[in-house]
Amino acid sequence: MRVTFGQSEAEWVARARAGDGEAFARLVETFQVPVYNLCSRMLGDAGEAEDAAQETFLRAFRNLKRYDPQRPFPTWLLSIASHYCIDMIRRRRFLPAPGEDVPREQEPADSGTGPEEALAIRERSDRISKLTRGLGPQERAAITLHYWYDLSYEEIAEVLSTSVGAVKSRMHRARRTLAERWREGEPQPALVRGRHNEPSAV
Amino acid sequence: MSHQPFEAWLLMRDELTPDESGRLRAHLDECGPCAALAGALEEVEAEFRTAESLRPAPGFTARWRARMEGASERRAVRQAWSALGLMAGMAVSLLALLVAGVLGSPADWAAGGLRTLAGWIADARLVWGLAGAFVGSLPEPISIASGMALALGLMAATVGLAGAWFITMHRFALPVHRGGVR
Repeated sequence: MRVTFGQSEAEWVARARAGDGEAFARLVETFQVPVYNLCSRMLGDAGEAEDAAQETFLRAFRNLKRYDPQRPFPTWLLSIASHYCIDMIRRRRFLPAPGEDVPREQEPADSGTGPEEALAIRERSDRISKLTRGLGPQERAAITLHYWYDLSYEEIAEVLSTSVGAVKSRMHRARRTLAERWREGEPQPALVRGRHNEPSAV
Repeated sequence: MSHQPFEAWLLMRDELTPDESGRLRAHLDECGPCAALAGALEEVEAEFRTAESLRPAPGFTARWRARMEGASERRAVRQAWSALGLMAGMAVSLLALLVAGVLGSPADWAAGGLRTLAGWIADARLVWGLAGAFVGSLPEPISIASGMALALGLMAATVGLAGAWFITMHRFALPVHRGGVR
C-alpha cells in the first residue's frame, strides 16, 4: 500500500496549518487507514492500535506548526505513529499490560466483508502478529514500513530518524528471524539457528 | 560449504548482477539450508505483501474529535490550576517572609510597618491634594462633571478588571460544553 498524497490533501494541510480544524479532520478521515494499519501491525492489538492512531493524529495536530511542507505529509504521520508505537512496545516491558500474548479481537479489514472473509482476515492477521512477535520494535517498524507501505530503505531511515545502514542491518536481522519463525510454524524441521547465525558455516 | 555471501544476498534483498544471480542460483541448487531460507523468505514476503490493510472501527474521526476536545479541556484546566497554584505559592512565600520578619525582630518590623503606613498615608494625601487642585482649577460646571466622571471611571475600571479576571478564570477552568475555551 503506497500512501498517496494529492493536491487536495496538500491544500487541506495548508488550511490546517492556518488553524482550520475541519481541514485537519478531513486529513484524519483520509489517512486513518494507513496510520491505523501501521499501529495495528506494530502493536498486534486492536485496542492499543486505536489508541496509538488517535494519539498520532492528536500529536500531529498539536505539532502542525513544526511540520515541514517540503516533506511528504503521510511520511510525517507514519513517522509520528512509528515512534509512538516503538515507545509503547518498550514501555510494555515495564507494565503488566495484556500485551501481545493475549491479543484482543482484531477487527475485520472492511466492515462490508462477510463473516467467512472476516474470519480469514482475522486468522491471517493473527498469524502475521505471531510471526512478528519475535522482532524488536525498530525491526518491526522497518519490516512494516517496507512490506506494507513499499518504502525504500532511505525512506524508512527518514521515518525512523536513523541511518540507512541501521535500517539495512535491522532488515537483515528481521528477515532471518521471520524466516526461522515461519519454518518453525511448519511441519518440516526448523532451520538450525546456530548454523545460520555463523557468518560462514561449513 | 560456505553460506556466504549467498545468505547475506538473500537477507538483504539487494539488486544482484547477472553473474551474482547465477552464482546464487547454483548455490541454492546445492545447499539445503540456504534453499530452505530462500523458500521461507519468499513465503513470508508473499504473506506480508498480500495481507489486507486493517481498518479502524467506523467513526474514527468522530472519536478523534471527542478525544481532541477532551485533551483541550484537560490542558485548559491544568493551565488554570497551574496559574492558581503559582499565585497561591507566591502568596504563601510572601506570607512566610512576613511571618519570619515579624518573628525575627518584632520591634523593627513594627517600626518599619508604621513608617511604610505613614508613607502611604502621605502619598494618598498628596494625590488627593493634587486631584483637588486640578478639579478646583477648572471652571465651575466642568469641575463638578469632571469629579463625577473621575469617580465613575474609577468604579467602572475596578468592576471591569474584576469581571475580566472572573471571565478568564471561568473560560479556562470550565469544560467546553459549559462555556470554556474551545
